[in-house]
Amino acid sequence: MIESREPAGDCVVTAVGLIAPAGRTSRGLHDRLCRGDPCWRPSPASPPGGAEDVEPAAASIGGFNIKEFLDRRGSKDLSRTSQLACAAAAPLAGGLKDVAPEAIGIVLGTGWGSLPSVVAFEWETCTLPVRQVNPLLFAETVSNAPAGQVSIQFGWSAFNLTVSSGAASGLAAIAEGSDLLSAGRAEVVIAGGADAINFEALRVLRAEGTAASDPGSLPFSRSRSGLIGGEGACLFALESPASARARGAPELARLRGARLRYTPEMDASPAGCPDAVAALLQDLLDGTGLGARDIQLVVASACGSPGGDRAEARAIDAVFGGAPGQPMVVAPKGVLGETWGASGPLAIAAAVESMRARRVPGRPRGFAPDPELPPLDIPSGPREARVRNAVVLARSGAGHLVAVLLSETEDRHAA
Amino acid sequence: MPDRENIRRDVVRVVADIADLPVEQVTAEATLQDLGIDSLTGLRIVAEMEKRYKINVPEEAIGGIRSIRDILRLVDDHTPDS
Amino acid sequence: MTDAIRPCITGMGVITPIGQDLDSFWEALLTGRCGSAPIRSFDTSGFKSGIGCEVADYTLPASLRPHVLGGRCTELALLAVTQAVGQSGSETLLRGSSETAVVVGTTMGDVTRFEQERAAHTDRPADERELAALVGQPLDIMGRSVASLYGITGLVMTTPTACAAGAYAVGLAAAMVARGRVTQAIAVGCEALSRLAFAGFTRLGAMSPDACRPFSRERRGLLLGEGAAAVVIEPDTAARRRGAEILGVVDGFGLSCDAHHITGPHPEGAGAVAAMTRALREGRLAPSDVDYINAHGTGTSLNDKVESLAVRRVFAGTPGTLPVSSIKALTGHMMGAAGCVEAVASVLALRHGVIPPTWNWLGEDPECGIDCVPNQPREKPLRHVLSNSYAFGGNNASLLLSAPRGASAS
Repeated sequence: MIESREPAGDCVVTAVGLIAPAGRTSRGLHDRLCRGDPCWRPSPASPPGGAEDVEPAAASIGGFNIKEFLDRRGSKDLSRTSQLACAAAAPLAGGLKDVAPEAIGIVLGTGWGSLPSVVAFEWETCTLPVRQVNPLLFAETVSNAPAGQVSIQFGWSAFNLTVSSGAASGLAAIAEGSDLLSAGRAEVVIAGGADAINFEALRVLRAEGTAASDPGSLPFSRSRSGLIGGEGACLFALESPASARARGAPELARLRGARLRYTPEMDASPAGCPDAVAALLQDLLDGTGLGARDIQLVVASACGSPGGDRAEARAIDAVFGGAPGQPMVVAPKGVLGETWGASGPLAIAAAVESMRARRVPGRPRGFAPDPELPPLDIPSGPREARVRNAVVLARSGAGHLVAVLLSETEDRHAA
Repeated sequence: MPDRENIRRDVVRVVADIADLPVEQVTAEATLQDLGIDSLTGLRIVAEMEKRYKINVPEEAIGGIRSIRDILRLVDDHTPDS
Repeated sequence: MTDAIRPCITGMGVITPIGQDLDSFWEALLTGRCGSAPIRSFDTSGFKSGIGCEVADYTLPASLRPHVLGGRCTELALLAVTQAVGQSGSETLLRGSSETAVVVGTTMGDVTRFEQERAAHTDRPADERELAALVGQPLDIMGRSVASLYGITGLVMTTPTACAAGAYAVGLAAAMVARGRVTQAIAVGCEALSRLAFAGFTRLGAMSPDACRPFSRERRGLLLGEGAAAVVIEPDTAARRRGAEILGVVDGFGLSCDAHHITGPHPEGAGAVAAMTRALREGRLAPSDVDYINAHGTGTSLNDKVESLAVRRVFAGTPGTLPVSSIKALTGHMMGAAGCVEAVASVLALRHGVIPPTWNWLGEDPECGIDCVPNQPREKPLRHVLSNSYAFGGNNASLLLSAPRGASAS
């Protein structure tokens, strides 16, 4: 029988690999966040088949060439999502050489999954006889292809799991990864998320008002009007503290707990369901034995959604706000855009780097406080501060909620 | 009659492109296994041959392809005489 | 000291090409009623063959309609879930529960509406309206629909792990219950037949032109199917306390990854061996404790050969011949639904003490070398069953399912 244990016990983050428009390292990402310089612009890229419209503003990774990350043949035939996932995994491989590949498992979160490949393959089946359609493209129409390609590239074979819950996918993957780790299914778990820029989805989202038409839309900001699309991939190596110590791996941060919930249609509801978010955050604190005043940083999931950001702000205020000592609040999507499956992991990377550098990013350029939101401590510029504990939140428009609590470790100077 | 040498060069170039290999490595004697060409890439190569040379390779014949020479032979066997 | 929790199945539901409830499904497995027929839901004129296993017309109860946030795949999922919840008698526990997990496995998710919209416009790429049918039904829409039906606010997880997804859903749900993360879980595997998948498998040369013949000589490939299955899982103690009948126990969940090729299995079945071995280890059982294997058995030359090799490797020392059968001969390969439907078939086998045969079998393939229980059901008391599922991306899963009485040693 399967033995029960406490859910999602302690584990440590010992490595990070990422690729985003803001950079390829945690420091690069953090620098860009501290500069408050949004990564997006209206994109001139055109989709397959051509379109007359101007594309929605999006933060894409310009000049991305998978060959810079992998010398694997055929890598150019992988979907962009698979390429991004492999690119994020590449920096982790070097530090895992002393771990048996069959002891390393993968959990990847992706919001859109293979949607771009599905659209491309469908079009190919319309224009070509079936004997001519690209079988590699078909192989990429399954949403577990990115995780599968990472395992093929690096040989990590303990297990391979893909999860999908919109913009909360990556943080959910990390929560599940830590649970699989503490269940003993691997010695090291590579967990995170990936999503490629997806103009098909963005055009639809813009038409329905979820994606902003105004590129000046920023999280928590007064004139926010919706999300700005992005892309990226971010993966962490998670292991037990004992395993990290035994192999001399740097402890970048400690993952103290995770909570997952579902509350339908947060954005659509006028009240925006702040209670559910607040309850999740409180439950997370209670489970780790920490109080609101022990948290110095909250990394929000806010993406520029009028209702969703309001719900989140109210929830953060309900749990952490009020008296002096409330945590600083950072919303990385104001620089990165909405990176879907990568968003939660990138937020963790931002938190971990903020802990290491003892510096918290401030508001992005163009931010204007919204008087209708509770007074959160969103620093006006980068602030020197020691972050002992951080809460990272992920929220999908459809209502998936995930929150994780990270603590600093003594290993501050780890790369 | 199509020029055999031209066809051979063309096939080699197409294989190299699809399989992401340097052209020099794609010799007539090389087996697909030696070249690390898996079944999916093999399917794509056959599809490209069909498209370029307007031939129809029966499905049963695909499984028997082991080397570049087999591909050349397929193109040869199924190309109609001019 | 934490008490060990045994995750138990207290309710099951199926909607398949061979039966839309447990009784008719089980009867079909024993009598060989095959679900294959010319495909009706999309135009197959561009393909060499157009045979598949579709779910026959069904009626969606009006009460479910508001909760169908997606399309056909979602409908199939809800129909299976309502059966399972009904059988478990746990609806009042699930309503409004924040301690319930919904775990859904699927391959393509809900693409039916997108394909229907596209069908009349294949002369041009998808326009925004057609894309909206796809974008508006992301992978998590089935799980969200189940949550909507019961007002569940616990976690909703979707695992799009291709053809093993249904097994992943059962195993992950069971693990959540076992680890005390939730007090009950609904695991669902669901898939609607899609032209995309049909085109893709045809392109790979994996599609049979006529019948699906797992493990048989002269087998020519798989047939695609569709459907859904659901199981309700809760701790054994909770089930007994509320007087629910325990149908089966999830005693182990073995995971592995081939890390070899995106569509083909590891040639020596290394991943399959690992998944089976890990399931047994988790259940603290020896290979000789397994009475029957419900195979992945797709009917392709490669899968059946490699799966047979893996079984022979794991069970090499087992006295007697271990029966191994595949129900895909009748249901086709239901992709994301398969692993969950087959878990249900395994539990039914445990309960009835009958092994469903591998139908359409013409004769032995010496490269397989296993007892595939050909063409005739076999009575045998069953204590423990392994159910295998393998997927693109090299994702493997083996579920170890036990009869309630035949408990593995704790």
